[in-house]
Amino acid sequence: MAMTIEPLAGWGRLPLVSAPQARPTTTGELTAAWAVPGRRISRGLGRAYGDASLPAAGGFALSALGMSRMISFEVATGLLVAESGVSLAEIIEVFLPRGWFLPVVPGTKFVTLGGAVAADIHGKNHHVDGTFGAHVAWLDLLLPTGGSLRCSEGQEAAVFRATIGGMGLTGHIARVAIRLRRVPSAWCKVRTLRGRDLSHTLELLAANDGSYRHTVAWMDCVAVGDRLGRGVVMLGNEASPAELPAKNAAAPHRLPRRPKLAVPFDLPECALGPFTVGAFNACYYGLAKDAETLVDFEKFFFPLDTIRDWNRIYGRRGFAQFQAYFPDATAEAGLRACLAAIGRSRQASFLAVLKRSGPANDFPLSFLDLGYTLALDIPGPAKTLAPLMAELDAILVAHRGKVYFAKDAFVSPALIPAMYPRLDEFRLVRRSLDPAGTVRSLLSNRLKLHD
Amino acid sequence: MTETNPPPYVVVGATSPIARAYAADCAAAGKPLLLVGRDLAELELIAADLRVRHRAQVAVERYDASLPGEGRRLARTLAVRPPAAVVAFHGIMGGRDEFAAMLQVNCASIAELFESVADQAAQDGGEPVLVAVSSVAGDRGRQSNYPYGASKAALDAYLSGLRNRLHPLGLRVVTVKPGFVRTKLTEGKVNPRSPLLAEPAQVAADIRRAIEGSADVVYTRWFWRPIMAIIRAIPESVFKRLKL
Repeated sequence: MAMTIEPLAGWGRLPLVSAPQARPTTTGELTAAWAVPGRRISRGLGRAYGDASLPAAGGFALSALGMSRMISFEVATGLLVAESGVSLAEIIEVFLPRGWFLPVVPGTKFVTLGGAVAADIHGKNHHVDGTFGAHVAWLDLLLPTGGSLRCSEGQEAAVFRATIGGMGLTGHIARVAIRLRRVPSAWCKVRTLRGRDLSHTLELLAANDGSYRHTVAWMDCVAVGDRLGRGVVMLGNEASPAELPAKNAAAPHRLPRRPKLAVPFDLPECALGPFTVGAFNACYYGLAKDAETLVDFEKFFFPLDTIRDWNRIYGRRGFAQFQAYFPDATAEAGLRACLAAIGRSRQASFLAVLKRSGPANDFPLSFLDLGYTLALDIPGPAKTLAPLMAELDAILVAHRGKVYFAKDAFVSPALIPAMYPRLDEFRLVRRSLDPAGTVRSLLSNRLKLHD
Repeated sequence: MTETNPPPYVVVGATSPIARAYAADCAAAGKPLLLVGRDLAELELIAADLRVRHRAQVAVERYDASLPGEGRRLARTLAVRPPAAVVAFHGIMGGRDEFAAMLQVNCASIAELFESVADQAAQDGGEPVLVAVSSVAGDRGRQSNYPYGASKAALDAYLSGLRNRLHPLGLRVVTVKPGFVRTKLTEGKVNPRSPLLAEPAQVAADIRRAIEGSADVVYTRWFWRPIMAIIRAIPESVFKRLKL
């Protein structure tokens, strides 16, 4: 199997490595690539922000992108079987016009099916629909010791559960059977409310999660003092065709056309300095109105996908994403401490997102549980990021918070067992599948997810 | 039911990236397809994908271009439902010790298939467009890959003659000459950022336009036509000294 050495990075472009990558396009080539000796990690569209899709030193990456066939679809049940390299964007393109949508989508549609399973992604509907993994009927895994295994809740359940959220460390996810959901239209009725400060924003989210399927808050992480944690809360339910304007009601599942924008080159560092970020945040809050509007799925679920390669706005220095979960009891104090630390550092990002999360699932490495999760970008380089990240680590420890593997590039490995109390259960399954430890990423090495 | 169905597009060597892009293009346009190739399991996957994505009508058929006789057998299968076009994508690239195999797969197999399909069409009145994917490598033998180039040059001469013979019968023959395309053949040989490197989908679109239009010989991307004109114009006394 021929491999080319390529520069590889996650979406934050920190870290950046040079490693061989295999790009099989047929079942035969996939089998051959998987049989190549040595350390390997599977990689999809590279949307994990940190090092989850980067091979450990001396290893290779196995790209799933060449294996992207949709195998079958059952109209009666909505069950779609596809190879893991299919992107959520492709699934939406094919099935939304037919009235079907993915049960869970993250903030970008440019992730693969395999990546969505490996990171057990969540969306704005976590409090209602749980994570992506909850809607997976079964999956086919290429095993580290060779051969393939079909697993589900009813068959090899331990392997199935460890693979969902398992960051690709149990083997190569080759096929996924995912249950799509019928939607009445491609539009959401969205109510927008403004939270004055952190406790008000949290209160608005908690008070409304029973009546809205999709909830999210954008937070101004430049605001300090009394206004710390002020935000714009967006509450959405899917619109029925009768609720759409006449011109859309005729084809309720058709998305409006929009221009394709792209960031064509790396912007200079000053483009996102404290001043521009502060001005953006102030305008965003100031211009938001308490109102109800119709918003199409594309704009509601994937606002940043309109701008291709938006990670380039951070320039060559790259950036990190910090995503933390806090349980209900400690959420307000934990979030307050995080926002204060980020505000003081003057490294705030222009986008911070706060989400209410529902109860945990039964996948040992899955991220969320009942509480809140905050996600925001912090510009690099790594040198200036490290002290702030260390400060945030301490806040997480003090407030029983945890980090999300798909976003992380900095957390201290010592904190992982406390954040993920079922880590040993995962390690046990992983060790039985891969006694030689050949499936590894920079992430799994850094955080000692193996031993 | 078959009487009212539009005639299928036959994609030979359907597991190659360019063929897959072309088949997807056809399926998206609602054209029925027959995918032909050696690896039946892989063909079934590609067919399944086109059915799910485009609700396309897709059938598969096994065919091994390395075996003489397969072309005649395939042509008999095609006669059941006379095709709109037969597009041969298959080919192999090898070194000096694989000359015979390349002549068989890259030229003789296509000749056998096209002769049989043309005879069949003359009998039953079908009008299939016969399309073969050759290569710019056939335009001039270069030391770096002349065995492959020679097999493609043989294919070019064959297609030219066939076109000449079939023209009075109203049958079209199209020669497609791709340059660098992002596939296994160019991986590691051509800079992945080279502006000369085309995506399989671009080449597939050029092939579709060629079939819909009236072209005889198509270079894809288009800029290979002037590039190869210059390369062909270099006198042999100079060319033999070049490192190409």
